[in-house]
Amino acid sequence: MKSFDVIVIGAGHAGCEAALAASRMGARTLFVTSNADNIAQMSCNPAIGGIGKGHLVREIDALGGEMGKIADATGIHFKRLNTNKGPAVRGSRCQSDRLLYKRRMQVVLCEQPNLVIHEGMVDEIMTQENRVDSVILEDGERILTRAVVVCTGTFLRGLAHTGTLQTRCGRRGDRPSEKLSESFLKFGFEVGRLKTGTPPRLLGKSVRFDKMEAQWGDERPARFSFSATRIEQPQVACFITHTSAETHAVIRSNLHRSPMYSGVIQSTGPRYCPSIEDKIVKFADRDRHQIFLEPEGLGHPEWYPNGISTSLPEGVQLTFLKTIRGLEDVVITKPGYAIEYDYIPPTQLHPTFETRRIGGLFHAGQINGTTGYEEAAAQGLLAGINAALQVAGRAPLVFDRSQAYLGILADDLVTRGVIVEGRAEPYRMFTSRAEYRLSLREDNADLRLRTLGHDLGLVSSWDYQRFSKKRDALNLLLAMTETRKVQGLSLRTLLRRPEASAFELFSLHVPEALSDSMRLLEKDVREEVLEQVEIQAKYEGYLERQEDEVSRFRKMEAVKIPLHFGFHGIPGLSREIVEKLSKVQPSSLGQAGRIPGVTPAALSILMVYLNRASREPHVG
Amino acid sequence: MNYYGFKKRTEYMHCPPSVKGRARKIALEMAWARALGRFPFSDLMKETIAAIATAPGNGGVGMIRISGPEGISVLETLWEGEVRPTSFESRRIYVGRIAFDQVLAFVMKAPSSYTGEDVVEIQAHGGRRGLELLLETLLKAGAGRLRMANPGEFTQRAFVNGRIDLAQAEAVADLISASSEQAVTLAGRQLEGRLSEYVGKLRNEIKVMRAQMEAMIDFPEDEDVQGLRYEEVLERLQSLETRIRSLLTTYEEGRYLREGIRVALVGKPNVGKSSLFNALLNDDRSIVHSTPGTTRDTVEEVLDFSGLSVRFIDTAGIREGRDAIEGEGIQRSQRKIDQSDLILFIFDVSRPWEEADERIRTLTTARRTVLVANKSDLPPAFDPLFPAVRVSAKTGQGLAELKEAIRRPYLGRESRVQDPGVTLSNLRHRVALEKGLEALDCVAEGAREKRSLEMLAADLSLAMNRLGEITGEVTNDEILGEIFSKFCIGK
Repeated sequence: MKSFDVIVIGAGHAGCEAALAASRMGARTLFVTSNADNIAQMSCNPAIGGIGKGHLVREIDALGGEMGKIADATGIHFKRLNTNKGPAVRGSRCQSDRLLYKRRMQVVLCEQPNLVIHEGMVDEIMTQENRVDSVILEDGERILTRAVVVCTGTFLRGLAHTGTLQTRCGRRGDRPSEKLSESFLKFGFEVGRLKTGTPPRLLGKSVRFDKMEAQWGDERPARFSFSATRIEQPQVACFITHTSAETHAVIRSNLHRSPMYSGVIQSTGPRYCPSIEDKIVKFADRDRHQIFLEPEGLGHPEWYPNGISTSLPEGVQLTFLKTIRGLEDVVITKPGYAIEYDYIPPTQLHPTFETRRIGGLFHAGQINGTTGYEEAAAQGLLAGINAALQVAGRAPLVFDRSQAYLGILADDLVTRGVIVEGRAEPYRMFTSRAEYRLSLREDNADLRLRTLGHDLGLVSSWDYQRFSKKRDALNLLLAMTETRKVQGLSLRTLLRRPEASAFELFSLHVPEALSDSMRLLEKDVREEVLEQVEIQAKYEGYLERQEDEVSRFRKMEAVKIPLHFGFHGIPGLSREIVEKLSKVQPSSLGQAGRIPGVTPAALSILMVYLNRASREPHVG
Repeated sequence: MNYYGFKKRTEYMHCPPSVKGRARKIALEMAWARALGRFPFSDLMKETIAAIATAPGNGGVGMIRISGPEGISVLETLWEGEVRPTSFESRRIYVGRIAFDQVLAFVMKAPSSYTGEDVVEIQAHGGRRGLELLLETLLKAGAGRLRMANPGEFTQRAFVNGRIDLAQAEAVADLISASSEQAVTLAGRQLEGRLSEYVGKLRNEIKVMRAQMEAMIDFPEDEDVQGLRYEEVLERLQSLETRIRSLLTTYEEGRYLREGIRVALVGKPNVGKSSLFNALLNDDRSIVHSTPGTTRDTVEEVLDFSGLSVRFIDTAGIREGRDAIEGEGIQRSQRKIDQSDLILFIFDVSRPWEEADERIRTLTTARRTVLVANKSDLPPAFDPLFPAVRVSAKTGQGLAELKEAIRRPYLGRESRVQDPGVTLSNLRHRVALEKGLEALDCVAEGAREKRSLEMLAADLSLAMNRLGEITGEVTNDEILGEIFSKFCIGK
């Protein structure tokens, strides 16, 4: 019988990072996918990054993940968002060539030692004493393993809707996984249902781009990955057009044919990514909605119209598309659809992404109720790392909310789940989710995480050396901003002025520092270092004001709640609160406080008991 | 390093390869269990806390209790007395001064104290106001090391440190939940409920403003997200700040009604302080009683000005008329000013304005002051350019006007721009609002300098958290909900 350390099920963005992390950390890893040709497929729009999402990609890269590298190598339109705002909320995004993206990732996976790719379907996960033990494939083969990372995306009992037409699929053209859900029910997991949608794809040669506004990317593309030294692909434009009153009229008169509105789909979609039907109903007063046409790739015949995801019948889709400027003669290559799928509420997980019910079973990606490639990849990376750490007998890796967006993602999922205002909504990252946003920036992701990535064995020593040089140069310059004074004012103070530039200040007052520290650095990295010096000076006052909050937060996080702590029988806690605490099983007092409905009074009672219990272990 | 990053490297726990089979499995599981739920001592318990320990009301003597490792060193920084607090013996009483008051202090060292930690108890004079001032002085001196205690926190510590036996556990838990869930009790409902509703409204306005900023930050490409102009932010902030300020004044006003006001008479020698004081005292419409204080040189006189009790402080000094101008005199005036709600600054209008007058007047600028032009029965030597009440202690002319000038700001409603209709009665709430106001000031500064939105949003969220200490926290989900209900998002 075959045996592996880790089995990763599903080869989307979560699966790829999980499989790479586990195998790079030395775990013998099996990667099971139903269609090897679609490994790393971008199922929705062909873009990576954005505000909040770009932050995740940079953090993934700092920890040695792959997403940023592939995005850089296949990006055909780069745009940094919020460049008119401060560095903490700038987000990088690129359009990638869809085919190139998956091919590149497939090459990396194929070349990865310790990793075996298997085309097939997992039907069942077997356990022994509540720990994973093996998986059973569709053809009946049993493979032994010590950890399983499930990254099945929308494939668990996926059901696509276009008008009244229903198709069982994981993604258009791919088989769904019908049997695996049964394993989860058998283990006693709570299983929920979510919905998401995608717009129709359009034939490029039928689109009148000359009637639309072209939007070009940045002249100097900012890369995601520290490893990338240049942008390889030629850069192309996106286009902007708008819906019209006529479009809205067509959609309004056909609303009853949309499965969302006829009541066929009961599950709910995300508020931040509404279907065009939703937009027109909920914001009836808006006379137009924006559409971005994004290229699917270099020379690719298809285009992706962002902003009009729909589940109306194909005929209606075509009718309303034709009312849009520039799309008068459009041809649909693939209709838009809504897809419903099973998810497993993530409040059943440890912050390591291991399920609390079954040891060695990890869930990552859309199965946890999230949306987005970046969110999926981030979870895949953390789940893969933790699976490998567990197999190797090492302590798990968990970030807190003040350390990384990765920590916010994990904490939100396991503590609050994806239920908002009483309904499930796919979880997406926003910078407003970060309490300490000013310190969690794209530009310092590597300063925050790369050393750790190197310790884990995920960052190559070549990259780590380059990074170390950057960090040393930065530290040198930062120290100098405090010690060097010009007319009694430190450089740090001078840098706080809005128009101040680190390069000018240094070359004017301490030119030798620049040449000493920067001599060994590449040009891009030099700019990064100077930028970093400026940012740290400009945010200083704000970061200091936040310090109090951060230390209060850390103190609450440091009060740990032991595994399997019994909340029953603590006097003063209401039954409702006991239930909430027992359901989430928070690992710290801070986490307990973030569970919706847990009151400050309940927290202080809990704190008393925890302290008491830690003094007299037999009491708790 | 100036960023919040990893300061420590993760420690790895290895399970030695020699451990095999089931034993290895158990060892690994234990390592994971330990890592996920380790049990360090709560850092929260290491903080030093302080609060007024005597019941509210106007007792002659009150007590402030401090518990925690920093208590003695905070006392050390303020203590004026023969023996230094660091060399205090446990359970012995020492006499000294803290700021304006003569106090008794004693120390109980851990673990034999009520809470099981180092405890400092300070006995001081006077009503609530005096104690609150003293507590504020301590908190200011101990900033970063000392904070105000939460309801029931001393008892909580006593329990955790094993000073109360286990049988009392349930009672403690009930106590804690009773005190912080006061809103449920009948008595608490009206007061607390209305206040938190009012503060809730303010917080909500901040939330809406922040949601608008967050929308612009997280969805810059959506046409629907309208620009928020800096002028608009400033306007809204100003309206918020005005309301918070008037809410803060109710704290003082509520107290004035309950406890009366403290008035200090200041002015250079021979301007007629004592004769004016005696004139007020002898006015037959005032009900007079005299309370000799426990401090040697303090006599407090309480007068009733049609419903407002007015307490003249440090009147002993006035009677003796031995206020010197230099050194001791200035210090003395300063002390009186610090303790008072209202200052009567008295000058002699029949003699020219001198530098000494000016010097004392500058001391009073931080407080509410009534300027009194005494000896107005004599021909004036100058015409004051500032509004002053003209009185003559000798003839009794202008005394009624002076009383009205003292009374009006406290009992009349003219002093407030806007009447919030609720009263602030809790020092904790006041501290929360003051900190909120401070954060809003930072937002305003940022808006004036046209700083980037994420910086404004950071201070706005600090302000929201402070107000949240009264009303309950605002979650990120609430902000997102606000964004999605207002704007059509969805590129």
